[in-house]
Amino acid sequence: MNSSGFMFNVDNGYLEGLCRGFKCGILKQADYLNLVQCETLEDLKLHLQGTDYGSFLANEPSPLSVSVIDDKLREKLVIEFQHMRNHAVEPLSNFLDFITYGYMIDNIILLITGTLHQRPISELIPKCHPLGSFEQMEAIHVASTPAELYNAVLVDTPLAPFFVDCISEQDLDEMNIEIIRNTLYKAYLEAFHNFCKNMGGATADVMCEILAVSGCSSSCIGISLNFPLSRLQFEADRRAIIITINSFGTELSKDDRAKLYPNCGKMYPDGLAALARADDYEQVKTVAEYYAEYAALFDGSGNNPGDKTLEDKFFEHEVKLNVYAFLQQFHFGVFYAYLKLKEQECRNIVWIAECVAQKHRAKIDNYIPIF
Amino acid sequence: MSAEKIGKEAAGQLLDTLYLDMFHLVEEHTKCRVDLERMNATGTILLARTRFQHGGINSVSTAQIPTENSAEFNALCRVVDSKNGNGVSVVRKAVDKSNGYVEPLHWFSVLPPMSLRNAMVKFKDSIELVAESTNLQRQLGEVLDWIAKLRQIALLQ
Repeated sequence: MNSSGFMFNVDNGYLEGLCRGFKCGILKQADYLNLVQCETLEDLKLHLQGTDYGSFLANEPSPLSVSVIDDKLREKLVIEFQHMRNHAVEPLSNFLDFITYGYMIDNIILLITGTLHQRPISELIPKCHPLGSFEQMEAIHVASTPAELYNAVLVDTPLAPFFVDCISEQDLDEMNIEIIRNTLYKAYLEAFHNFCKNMGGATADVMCEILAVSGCSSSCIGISLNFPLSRLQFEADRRAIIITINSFGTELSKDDRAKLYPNCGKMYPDGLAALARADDYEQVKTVAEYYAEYAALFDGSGNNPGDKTLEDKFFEHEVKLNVYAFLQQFHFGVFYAYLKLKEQECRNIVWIAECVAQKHRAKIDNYIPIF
Repeated sequence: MSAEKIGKEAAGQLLDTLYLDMFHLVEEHTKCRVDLERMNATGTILLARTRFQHGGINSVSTAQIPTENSAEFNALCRVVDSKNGNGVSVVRKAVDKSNGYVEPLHWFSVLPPMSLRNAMVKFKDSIELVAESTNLQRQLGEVLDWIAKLRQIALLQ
């Protein structure tokens, strides 16, 4: 008899149950149909009161703005995540901490960019994502090169190991900052992938694809982290494709571009090598056609009016993968999937709010449905 | 008497022509303003789409824009008012970082997504429309002045 379920529940059963409860509060299609019919942000607030969000905007003064709605949505998500993190023990606590490192990277880049333009740190700190806050954040403005940034700020943070490939004496300018962002994120994704692989046991790297897609129950001894592995593989490949497409027409060389690709995806190594040589969108599409799930995303996507963009198709695929996570029990992937689905929901609500506020309703239905 | 009559008829025809010009200019000016509003709205919604696709409010944020304490840079686009009656025109400079002509898109990202690039194109086009609207407004003003003068002359006669 497989005892992994019992052992998992000793430390993590309550939190998995809580996470599944939170997941049931994610907005359904009927909720979105109500939201897109709102004429004003006050209507939106009224309709959101009937969902799990409740009266989260009750204390906000009129007139409401989209940025206020975005802040309050994020605040609710952060409270839920931090509740789960506060009640977690190892190894779940380590897993949840790993999730927050991505937000730390975004905060560092935001602070460096703002400091580059001489913005006071007191103006920038409130704009940072709460999940990525760390003690040394306010010292970032003292650094003018990546080496100073590492020695003065990051060396005592969890991001220190990811910074190894970024240390240089070059001044921080826009190009270097972008390269640092993507290099940090590459190192982070690969480290997270290795973390999940190590935690999942010897069968994790064999089972991850099958378990993630078919929804079969895990036969791993110990905690199953197969969903996060496949999820991170998709994230790595998505970043590689998007970086390639966005680099066309910019000063980023092919060699520098190739250094930004995470190596933990399905496209490593041949697909990434082909992406590094690509010169236009059609060549990227040709590379993606070697991978069935990515070829399907490129089909039907485009920049013409009425087409879905490639980024939207990636979001839809990501949502599908995250929803699949809940088909299995006794693994940490549900926490990651819940956070990502909730973030997608926040983006959807903010998009609808922007369309309502700007009275630009033509594309109000261009959100990503979840359930 | 007949010369006076011919003069009045000529003035009347001139007034008719000016009124027709006025209506054409009003129509063109209104169309230009509508296009400008539509262009700005499209650009703004594209910025919102960029935030949707690339991580929220901070992906296109005021925190990324230079302040008065930032390094100086030159404008890529200047509005020039020609003195020879050709009206207002827009003069564009090429991006040349070494001479202070920076690419504003790079404030937000050196690897800009397509939605952000499209938004930039819309806002650039809206500058052209502003110049066109200004010229139409000036022409309309001139026509209205001429109409007023001709009517004054007709009243005095």
